[in-house]
Amino acid sequence: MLSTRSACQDGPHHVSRLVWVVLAVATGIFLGHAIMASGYAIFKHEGGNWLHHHTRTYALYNGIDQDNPLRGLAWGAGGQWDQKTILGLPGTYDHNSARIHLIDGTYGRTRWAGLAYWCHHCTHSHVKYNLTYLSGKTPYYRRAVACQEIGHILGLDHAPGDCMGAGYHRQWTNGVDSDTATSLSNKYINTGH
Amino acid sequence: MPAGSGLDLASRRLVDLPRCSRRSMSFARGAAERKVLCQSAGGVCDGVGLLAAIVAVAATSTMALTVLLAGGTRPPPPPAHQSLSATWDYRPPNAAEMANESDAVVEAQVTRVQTGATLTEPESDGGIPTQRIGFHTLSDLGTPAHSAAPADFTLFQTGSSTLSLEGDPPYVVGEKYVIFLSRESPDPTAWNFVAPDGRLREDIDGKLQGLIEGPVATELADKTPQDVRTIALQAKVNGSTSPPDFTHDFFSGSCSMGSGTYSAVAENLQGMFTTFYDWTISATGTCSGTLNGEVLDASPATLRTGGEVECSPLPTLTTAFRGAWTLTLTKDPSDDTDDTVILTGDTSSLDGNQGTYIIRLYGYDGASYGTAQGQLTTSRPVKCERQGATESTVTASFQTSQALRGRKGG
Repeated sequence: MLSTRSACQDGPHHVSRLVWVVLAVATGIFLGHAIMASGYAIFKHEGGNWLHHHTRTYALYNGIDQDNPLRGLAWGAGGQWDQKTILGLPGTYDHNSARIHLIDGTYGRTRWAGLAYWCHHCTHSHVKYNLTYLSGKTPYYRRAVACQEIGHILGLDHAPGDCMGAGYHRQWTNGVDSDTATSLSNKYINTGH
Repeated sequence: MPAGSGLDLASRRLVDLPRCSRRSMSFARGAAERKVLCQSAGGVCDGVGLLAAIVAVAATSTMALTVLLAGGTRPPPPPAHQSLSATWDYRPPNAAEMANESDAVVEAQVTRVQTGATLTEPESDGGIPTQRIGFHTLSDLGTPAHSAAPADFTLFQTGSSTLSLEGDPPYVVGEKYVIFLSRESPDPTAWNFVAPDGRLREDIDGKLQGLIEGPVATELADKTPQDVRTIALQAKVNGSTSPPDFTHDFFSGSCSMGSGTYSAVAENLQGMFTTFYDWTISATGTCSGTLNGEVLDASPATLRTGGEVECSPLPTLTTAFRGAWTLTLTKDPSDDTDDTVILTGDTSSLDGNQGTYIIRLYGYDGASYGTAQGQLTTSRPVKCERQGATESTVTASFQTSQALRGRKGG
């Protein structure tokens, strides 16, 4: 602890040094995080907030109809996020404890096939799949949409290379790329989650 | 903040600090003054200063703990506007394909924004809000013949004033847009855009900007509604799905040339059985129809065509002439601005004899890019004479059977 005497005697020079030390340390921490977090994934921000839940466990409530093949595809997509990242996406039958709630519906010709409700530090998010469009699509594409909407809830924005690029970039697949998984994991680690 | 909180406690303690400590914590005064003050206080000042520092740290810690317990785990207040991520069903690779998928392409202005019926699903959780956007059409930029551009229309939109889909932000009354419309919508009384890429906001300079990143937004960035009209016409006439190159103009309609000249000059170069002629036609008149989608009504026009012809010495006077052509059209002669458009093509022909010919113009790059055909008459029959020149006055009329595509700029 700094004594009052030393603070008095050194005056502004000591404070100036202290400020510079603090700034240097803060800059180092910031740059370190930025470098470690950089990767192929792009993270979604709004109003200065990285949009994610404040947790590493995203319990998944699959509300898609039992008879809809999309239900199985969504389970598979959630499982891949679970396996390839440090995040946990356990299935749950308890709506109230679920972090991600998947819903299907025939919403009509709205032009969108899937929706994800972004949020910052919330505890329950909805993903909605529009069967008006998805029912006529291939399983490969449906799996991509299922994967992408879950990825949004985890904090990812659109990016080429895997399911996060479907409908937005020419390069896309229906799964989670290793680079995306690593970047997302690092993001959670480096931001102290 | 409630009474007795960390901040309140910190403030009270600071107020109670000894005078010297408060002075020693202030860096507002000069260093020399602080040094004198501290030295004059001696050990008392040191002891009080240390106590002050301890109290300050304790107060700060209390304040931080209070804030953490009281509200640290609470989510921040929701943003004024929430954007939802959307996977869109259709993302066109270019504007031409999008035009082909559209039921109408219009430039329109927002006249009203109203709340629509909520989209619900079996597991109702409040559903998805929707809006209805009223528009007044300013101009039809490309509506197929079997359809009609609406004068006023209502557009379906998913979202509300506080919630919108990524790439489809809220509309504001008074804004101008170019919209590629589709009749498909959850609301049978409302139109929809064919894709989010088909919503382009017009800025104050009349330039368009897409609202969702993609190839169409890149292609149409800073373009004008007239450029979109060109694209839509090209796409619908030719069924083209490739991006336009903006190097061609399109004319569809008919022309009537009331006066002109024809000349054919025999060259010195003569073969054993043939004579080579340079022939030219220049005729002026009017054209009516559409030029790049804009209506032409008896607009001034000039046709020039010519080339080289090889005449056979056989008795028949049937001749065939081929050469390049230009069609100069002035959209509005009363306008001071330069709105003259020159279409050019590399193939035209005259077939016939005895002063009556069929004239054909082919769009640039071949017949697949449009044709025009009509009749051309000369006051004197054009003969393949071995010597001298033939000159005559001409009249001509022709009509496009498929929009004539000409290279822009002459």
